[in-house]
Amino acid sequence: MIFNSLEFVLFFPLVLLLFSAVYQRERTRDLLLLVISYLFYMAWYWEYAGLIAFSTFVDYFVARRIGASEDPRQRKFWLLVSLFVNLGVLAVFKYFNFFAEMSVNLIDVFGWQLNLPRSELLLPVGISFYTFQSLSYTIDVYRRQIPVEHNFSKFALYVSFFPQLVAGPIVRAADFLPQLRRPLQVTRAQFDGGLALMFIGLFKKVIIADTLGVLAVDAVFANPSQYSSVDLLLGVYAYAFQIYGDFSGYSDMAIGAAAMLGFTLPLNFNRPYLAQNIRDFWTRWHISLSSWLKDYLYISLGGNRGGKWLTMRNLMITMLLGGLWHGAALNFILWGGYHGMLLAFSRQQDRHAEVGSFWRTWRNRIITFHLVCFGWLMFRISDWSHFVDYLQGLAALTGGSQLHHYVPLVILLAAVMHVLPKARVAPIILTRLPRWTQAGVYSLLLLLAVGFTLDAPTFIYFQF
Amino acid sequence: MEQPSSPRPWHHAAILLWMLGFLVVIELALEWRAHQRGYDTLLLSKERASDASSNSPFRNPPITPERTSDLPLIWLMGASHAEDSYLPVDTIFPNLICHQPALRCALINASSAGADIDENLSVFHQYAHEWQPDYVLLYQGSIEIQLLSKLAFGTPEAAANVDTPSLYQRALNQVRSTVEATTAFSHLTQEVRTRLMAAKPLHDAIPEPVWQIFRQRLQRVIDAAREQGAEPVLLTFAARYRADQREQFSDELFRSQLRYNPYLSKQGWLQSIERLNQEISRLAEQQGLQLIELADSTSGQASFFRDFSHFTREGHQHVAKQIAERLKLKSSQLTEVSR
Repeated sequence: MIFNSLEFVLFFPLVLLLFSAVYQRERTRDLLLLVISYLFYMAWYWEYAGLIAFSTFVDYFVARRIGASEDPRQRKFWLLVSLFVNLGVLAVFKYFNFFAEMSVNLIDVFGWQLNLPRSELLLPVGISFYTFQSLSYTIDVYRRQIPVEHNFSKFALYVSFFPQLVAGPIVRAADFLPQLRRPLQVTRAQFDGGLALMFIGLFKKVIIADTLGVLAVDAVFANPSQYSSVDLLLGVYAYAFQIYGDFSGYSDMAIGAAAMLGFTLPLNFNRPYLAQNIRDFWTRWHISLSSWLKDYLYISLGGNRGGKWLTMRNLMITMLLGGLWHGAALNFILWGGYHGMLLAFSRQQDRHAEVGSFWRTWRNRIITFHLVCFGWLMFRISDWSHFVDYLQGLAALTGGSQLHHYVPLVILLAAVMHVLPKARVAPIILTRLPRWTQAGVYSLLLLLAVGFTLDAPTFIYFQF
Repeated sequence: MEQPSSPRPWHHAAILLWMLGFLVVIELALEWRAHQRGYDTLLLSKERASDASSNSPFRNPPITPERTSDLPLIWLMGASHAEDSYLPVDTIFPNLICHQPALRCALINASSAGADIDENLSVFHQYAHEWQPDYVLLYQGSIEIQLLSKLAFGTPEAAANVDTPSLYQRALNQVRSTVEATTAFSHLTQEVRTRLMAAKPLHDAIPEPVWQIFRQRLQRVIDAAREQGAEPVLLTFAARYRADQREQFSDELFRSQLRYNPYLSKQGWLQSIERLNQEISRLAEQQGLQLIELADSTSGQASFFRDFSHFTREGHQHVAKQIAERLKLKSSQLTEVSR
């Protein structure tokens, strides 16, 4: 079930109605949301709901053991159990075929032959998101940053809360569990703000991202050699705004849906293409993942405490693994490595690049945007010969365009939306309108979204 | 633990009711407008074209196996072009064929809107043994092109796609088809979605390997007819424009094609129909089958078509005449008929 589907339009008002009936009874509310969250997930593959339950049971049990012990070796042992189980599930369901193929190819280089079976398991939707979320809880308990959660239904709800279950934001236990312990208040401002965010997310997803995908990205990336340099440039800009609209649109809808139920989820995107350098970009793009990687990987590796070369090594490892998180394919690893290099290079630059003249600010933004776009080329490409074709096509500087004039118009609309409003101004403006006017605006947006719904049924980030 | 009272979230949800109200008003207004212009809508439908065979799985006047025993029986497979529920049952070409002076026969019109060859065959396998037809005529075109385009250019089906929809899926499909039957949805599709589809890079031809699939599908019809002891007869498919009339193919008409096939350009459509007819002709020649050339005399005649490929009454009459004049009955049956 995706947010921009008929199923969700029927499902969510029903959730609101049931939630309204019980939301002041803490235990019933938690159980209701838990059941709803599992039903939401089971609308995809009911079989894989068992995996979430498995991760939940393991981390609930492990965290209790960690919390109950003062022996550092025992605490470490139980943490390793959690890491082994969670990363093991990821390895089996997401990375097995990739590493098996890599091993076969590597062995083949030495002239030996290795036959490894191929896993026919489907990739469970959102596995990387909920695994990281659950894992962060045990690490935080191990680090004594949060107390152990003894109430199983609260912990299970933290892992499976439906608005952010399949594509984030990745929520920290320290942010979410306290919300379950205090009386929930859903104010009208919160409800209206959440609804506004949901429609803004819908607009980004359906009208920006899907349109760009269908009108330009799919065709240009499938056959780059058939397009002019102008089209290839438009194609990569289109992809930059497609992936932003798709993912940040989903995050907006997730945050909005949670707000309508009285929960606060963290901001996941903050106008990333206005970043002035690549470090700035990673504080604005997929914030919940980049902060997760920083807190649980980069800092665990030593962060910037070991001098220049160790810092660069740590950055590279973090970003390579961050790339791998996105998918079991070489292009994601290279994309991570590319960003690792840019980050390492960026650390050598002026730390206060953002404080500059208007022109310098915009020069930095444009350079950073194009560096990010180059990374998106690696990210999107499925065949390396296409990557070479794409670069050759761009370098050929050929004119003319086969793409419809809607493509630059939608890119311009996306860019203007990106630049103009501050992150949360649009929902505030919307919620200040009379309620019937808001309803009129949302009705038109809904109709527009129905009209714009082409053949792009899912969200890009669901595959991660 | 009971928490201190505060407004329930549902109390804030009046805005959702406002939205529902707006959407209902918009739909009713559009339905009223469409109804005034003579269109059927979800709530305001005019009387449908009378259908004498409403209890029959076939779109023809009532017929029984006994009644057909002394006449050669034709079984016609097709899609909406031959089913045509928008016109009275006695004005559509399948039901006019046996009323032509050149031919005495009985006909079962087993065509159905949206049906492809596989669905035609499924009905054939279910009923043909009961009727023992002498001739099986196949009139298929745009639906097959739609299917081939989907195979060539469509996204792969979701891995978890299930063949038999669950109760939940069936209920959801019911709601979805109701939403899709609204006038608002129809307007949005025609005015917004198809414009976007027309703006995306479209394909000018169906790739060669996919035509092999079409040949196999035709072969299945031929084999099925022969298994029943019937003679297969192929018909070429007629469309409003020939391949050299691309300039006359209006954008509005093209957009209505995009509602069903979002892959092919105007050129792609016209060339695919030409190619489809070549495949039909080639197979008929190779296997010594009767071929009735409808495309030659019908395509390009605007007055025969009410849209891209569906006939007007005049078109139906013309096509029925062509078939009746060109269908060659076996000599034994001709003798039987002349007696």
